[in-house]
This record gives sequence, C-alpha cells and structure tokens, in this order.
Amino acid sequence: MTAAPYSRARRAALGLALPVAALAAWEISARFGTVPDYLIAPSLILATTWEMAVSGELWRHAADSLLRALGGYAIGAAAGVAMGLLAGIARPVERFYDPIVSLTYPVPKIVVLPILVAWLGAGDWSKIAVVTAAVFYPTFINSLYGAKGVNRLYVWSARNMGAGPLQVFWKVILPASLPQVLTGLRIALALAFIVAVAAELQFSRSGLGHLIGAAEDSLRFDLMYAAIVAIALIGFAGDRLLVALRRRALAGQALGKEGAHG
Amino acid sequence: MAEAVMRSLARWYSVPLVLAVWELLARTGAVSRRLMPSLVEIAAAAWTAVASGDLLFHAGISLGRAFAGYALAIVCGVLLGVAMARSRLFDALFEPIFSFGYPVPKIALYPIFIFVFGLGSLSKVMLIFLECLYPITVNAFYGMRGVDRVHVWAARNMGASERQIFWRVLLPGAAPSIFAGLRIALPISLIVVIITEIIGESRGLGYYISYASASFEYAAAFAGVAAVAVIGFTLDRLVVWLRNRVIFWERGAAFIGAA
Amino acid sequence: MKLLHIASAAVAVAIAAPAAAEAVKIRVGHGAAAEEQLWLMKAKPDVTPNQGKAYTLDFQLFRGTDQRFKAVEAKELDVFTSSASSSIVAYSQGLRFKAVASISMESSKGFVTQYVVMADSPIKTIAELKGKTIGNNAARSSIELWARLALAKHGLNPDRDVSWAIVPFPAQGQALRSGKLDVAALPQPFAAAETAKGGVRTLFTSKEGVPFDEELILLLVTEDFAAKQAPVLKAFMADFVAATKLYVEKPKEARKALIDAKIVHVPEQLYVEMKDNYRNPNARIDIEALKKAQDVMVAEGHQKTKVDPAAFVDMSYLP
Repeated sequence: MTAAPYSRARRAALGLALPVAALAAWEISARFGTVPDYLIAPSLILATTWEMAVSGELWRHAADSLLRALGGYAIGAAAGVAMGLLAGIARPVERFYDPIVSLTYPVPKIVVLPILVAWLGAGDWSKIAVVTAAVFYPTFINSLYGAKGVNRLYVWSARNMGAGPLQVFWKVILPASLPQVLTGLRIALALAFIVAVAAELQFSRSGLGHLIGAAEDSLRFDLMYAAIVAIALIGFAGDRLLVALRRRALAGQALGKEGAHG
Repeated sequence: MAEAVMRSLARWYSVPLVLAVWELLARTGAVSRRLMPSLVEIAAAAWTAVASGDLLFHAGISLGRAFAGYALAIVCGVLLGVAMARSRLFDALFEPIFSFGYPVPKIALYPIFIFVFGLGSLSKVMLIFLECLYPITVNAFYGMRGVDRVHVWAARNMGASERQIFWRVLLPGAAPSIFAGLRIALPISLIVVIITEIIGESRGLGYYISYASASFEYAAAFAGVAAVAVIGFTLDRLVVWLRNRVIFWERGAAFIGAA
Repeated sequence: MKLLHIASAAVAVAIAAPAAAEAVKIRVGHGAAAEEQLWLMKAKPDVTPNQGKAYTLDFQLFRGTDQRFKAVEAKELDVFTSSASSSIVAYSQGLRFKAVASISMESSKGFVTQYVVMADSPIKTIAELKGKTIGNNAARSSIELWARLALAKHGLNPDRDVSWAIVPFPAQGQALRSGKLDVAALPQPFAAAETAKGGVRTLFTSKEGVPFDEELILLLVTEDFAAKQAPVLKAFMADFVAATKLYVEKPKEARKALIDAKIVHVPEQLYVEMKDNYRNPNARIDIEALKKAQDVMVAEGHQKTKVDPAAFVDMSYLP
C-alpha cells in the first residue's frame, strides 16, 4: 500500500485501455457484418451524434433531460442527505423513516408516475418529482449510515470540551459522515439520469428518453445510440465532477486513511 | 417471541401512517379516482390474485431472477471494489468504465441483451447484475480506502501478517460501507427485474403489473406493486438484521433519543 | 373533395364569426404507428383550414395506448388515439370516452400484420409450428390474438403446442434472424424494413385468424371535451377527414410531408414506398366490425365482460 500513485498520463492511458479495446472489437465486427444491424458501428454512431450535436437538436433534448434530472436530483438529494443525517443522530427520526424506506425503496418509482402526472401534469414537474423520489433513497441510506458510523469517541470528546449539540453536528458529525454522504451523492446522480430518461420514455414530448423511444420505433438505431451516447457523456461528466468535488471536500480526511495515496 | 413481534410492529408505526394518507387521498379522489385506487380495492385484488396462485407464481419468478443477479453482483462487486482499492492497476482500468457505463440506461440496450443473452431469464439476470454492481463496488471501494491507517499500523506492530491485516482489519473496517452498498443494491435488483419484466416478458411480477395496467385493472396493478413492496421490505429487514449482527460494534453514534 | 372543403370553410366561418375569441387548444395524445392522417394535420396545416382559427393543436407522443389512457385519467388530454381492442376493454372496465372516427383498419384492403419466418426455414405451413417459438409484443395483445386464432384453425393448441416470446417490435426482426424466434410478428414499418433486408417469407397474416375487416386505431375524445367544445370538435373532425382524404389520395406526398416535418423518423425510402393499413376515406367507424372483434376477444379470454360498442361510438361529429 505504499506504492506511488500512477502519473496522470498513465492513469488516463490505462483507463482508456478496456473501452478502446471493446470499441475496436465492436467497430470491426460491425464492418464485417457479424453483428445484428441494431449494433451499428461506433463510427456511424459518432457521425450521427456529431450531426445532431451540430444541428442543435441533441442539445435541445439534452437540455430538457438535464433540467428534469438535475432538478429532481437537487431536491431529492437535499432531502435525502438532510433526513439521512438527522436519522443517523436521532433514533426517533430513524425509527420513523426506516420501515417506510424499506417498504417503498424496492418499488420502481416509475409505477407511481401516472399518479404524479395526474397530480402535476404531463410536463416537467411530474418527471422532476419522480426523479426526486428515486434520488431520495440512496442519498438517505448512505447519509444515515454515514452519520451512524461516526466514532462515538469523537462525539464524546467534543461534548467534553463543551461543544453544544449544534457544534457537535457541524464540526464532528458532518465532516465525519461526509465520505459516505458523497458516495451516496455519486450513486444518486447516475440514478437521476436513468430515472429521468425512463420517465421520458413513457410521458414526454422532448428529452433524450423521448428521443430514444421515438428512434427505436422508427428503426433509427443511429438516432437511438446518439441519444444514448449523449446520456452516457452527461452522466460521465457529472460523475467526474463529483469525484473531483469529493477529492477536494475530503482533502484533509484522506490523511491517516488507507486510501491516502488516492 | 410474540412480544418481540409486537414491539417490531409498534416500531413500524410510520407505515400505517403513510397508508392512512394514501387512503385519504384515494377516497377523496384528490388525485384521480382510478389511477389511485383505495387500499380496500387493492387488498381485494390482491386477495383474488393470491387465491388463484397467480401472485405467488409470478413473485417467485421475479425473486429468483433478482436474487441471482444480486448474489452475483455481491460477489463480483465486493471483489472488484476491494481490488480497485488495493491495486492501482485495477483502479485505473475500471473506474472510468464505471463512471461512464453506469449512467447509461441499460434498458434502452435491451435488444442487444436479447442478442447476447437470449430471450429468457439470463438477459434479465445480467442486467440486474450490472445495475447492482455499481453501488456495491463503489461502496466497497470507498470502504476499503477509508479504513483508519492507525488500525493497520497497530495490527502490523502486533505482528500481523498481510493476510491477517486484510481479513481482521481492512475488511471489518470496510464492512459498514459494504453493507450500505448491499442495502442500496437490494432494492435495485427488484426495481430492475420489475422493469425488465414490464418491457418484455410473459411471467414475473413486472409482467403481472403491466398486464393488469393494460387491462385497465389498476387496483390489480397496485396489488402487484404492493407485493413488490412487501417482498423488498422483508428482504431489506433481513439485510439490516444481518448488518447489525456482523457489525456488532457499531450501533450508531446517535446522541438524541433513547437507544 | 370540393364539397368537403366548402363544408370545412363553412364550419370555419360559423365558428370564427361568434368566436372571434381565441382558438381552443386541443391536447392530442397519439402513438407511433398507423395514424398518419392525424399527424398530417400538424405537418401540412394547409389541409386544415380551421387550425389556428377554431383550434390549435398540442401534440404529444405516447408510445402505448396504456399511457394515453393514463394521461386521459390525469386530465391531460382531450383527444387521443387508441387501438380498437383497448377501447372496448377500457369501456368494459368503466372508463368513459367517445369514439368519433376510425383512423386505420386491419383489413385485406390494405396492409395487414405479417407473421414471417426465415426464407430458408423448413416451416411451410402453420401446422408445422408445433413446438416453435412465436414473437409477440405484449401479453394479450392483438398480435397474440390473431396468431392464437390462426393456430387453432390449423389444429394446434396455442397454450400447449407453441411457446410465446415477448419481444418489442424493433427487436423482433433480429430475434428471428438470430434464431431466437421461429416466427416474428411485424406491423409497419417493421414489416417493410425486414422485407427490404430480405431473407424472410410471410407464413401467415392477421387475416388468417380473423378473416373479417377490423378497426385498428380509433380516434377518441373525452366526454368532457365533447360536451363543452362541440363546435370546435366538429371543426377539428372536418379537418381530420380532409387530412384523411389527402392521405388516401396522395399517400406519397403526404408521407414525404411527414418526414420533412420531422414527425416521422423512419428512413425516407422505406417509409414513402411501403404499403399501409387501410383507411376509411370518410373516417366512419364500422360498429359491426367492433362487435365481431369483441366476440372473438371474449371467446379467447382476452376480455371478461362484454359491452355494446354502440354505447361509446358517436359519429355525430363527423362531417
């Protein structure tokens, strides 16, 4: 565990190794016709994606999907983290949420989409609502376990030194739970995009999910993949952002931990 | 035993509360009479479905698939997360794949899955496996990374071998995070199995729900949903119970409210 | 045609005069296949003189009849399309609406759903399908119904002698070619696509099981909208029939317009040339066909309670 970390360049190169290999294999087999025609060649997908990006059509749909995904993410994650942390430090709160979360988490939130549409209309708000609901769960659970896992000694020593409950929360619990909270945020972000797209597949007139559905029904697999590529890129960018954020936020905390070299 | 059950039921007081809210909304038709049926209608539909054996049949099929994918994801996810935490090579190789691959809605790639894995349960199990992999791996990774170095040094000081350090220090230290990952991934396995069954399948709870919905029998559809909820709830309680047993040293730093 | 134009113009004047007030926004929920005349109203507004005056159109795509009905329940739609079979089932479950026009039919006068096998497949007759796998798009769908009836007609037990695989339409062609299906069920545009690719042969069509003409897609409106906006609805219907006439008389021009307006994304060459489902030029609903189709559905167990289709068909809004 004392080996030096890889240089940026080496990491980037290694990171690309497997995906590039897979893409190459895909391109070659598509060219030589051993795959079905909906597995169209990556070069063709790229061409269509580029074309749509340039014409602005892809941006328009992407922007709509982003609005719904990020809107729901903001609300759901805020609620999830807040409630999760609270539940982690206050047993009564945990007891309230625990069974409800256990009961409703396994249900695909998509099944309540019609009810949300009846309540909020077939526009953006119903989709934001379903994303909010979906995002709440991983953020809540991770924050709950993050707060629960805070070493009691820290809490006690802080109290010994005269810290009030608010200070204990702000200066001890919050920083100590931060790693787990950020893990939850990372998982939730990817989930937000998936759920937004799934909702758009059912009830929408715009957005990348809508595009995927319309394209598939019209046998335009190139369009479908362009939309999928767009989603993957957005998700990837978001994930990278969160990883960078995590590194900054936990800069001090990594010291003294096993992963200090990361 | 009965007392323990009674105590559990009292603890879960929030569930009847939520159900009461639903019933209120349903009865007053606040949202939509048909799209939000009353609990009585749902219960009646559920009773019919259970009596005919339908619900249990479909539930069993969905459970089997979900469990297969989930179990596979646990094994591979923990291994992968640990490997990524311990080896720079693994980390560099796999991390981008996770970040890039996870946000892709694999549902849209269903035709490809059919091509690769066939029309039966395997394509669903594979999809479940992939979807559960991410939270488990991410949590295992961060769990391993977050272990206090002091603990490792102390163990080393006491003459522990690398092997012992891994099994007696690192893994237990990562366990809380790993269990958080398990708890998050379990419902995902159910969600994915239901959704894949809604898209293209003639058996399973997802099929049951979508068939009822297409026949405009919304109460029956919700009966199916309730079945999913109950199954998920039971399994989740199992995971929580398991967690409290395995990670017995960490009951929580709660300092508000009785233990 | 001329008479129709005069009629439309007359309705437009009748409406425009007293209601110099705003055009009513009609929220339309539609699907992705066999509804071309409806989409044409958006793609070629010159065919619809009342658009912009008596009404404006707000189109939304829903990939399934199921979702459309849910949106209607959520009070989000005024006018929507639905498969005829779903309409009957919906009515039997207590949902209320009016069927005001026929959009397309599954009739031997036009394209009918094809059940295809590989060209080199040893299967030559339906009886040889014993032990084989048949493609279906959704449980208890019309696709399944037609196939079941065809099988029964040739002495096979649909429950025991064949297996059914649910595969979304876009994937059926490929599932057939890779051997996962023995028979693929293909409506348009999927049938045209697979035929263009070659290597497939039609084993039977939907008319094998159901030898009479059937309504395929109907145009429905909510009772609320019909009651409150009757004159607007009449204007809309007049334009709808005009669009239907255009589609029936000049299909290629109409389809090209749909592609240009980016309402249809199917590859142009495939789309413009393909044979399409029959449309009644007057958009009138064949109630007898609905009754016969319902009898079949009830006999096969696809529907539980019988209703009288005449109860929800209301053609008084047609010109």
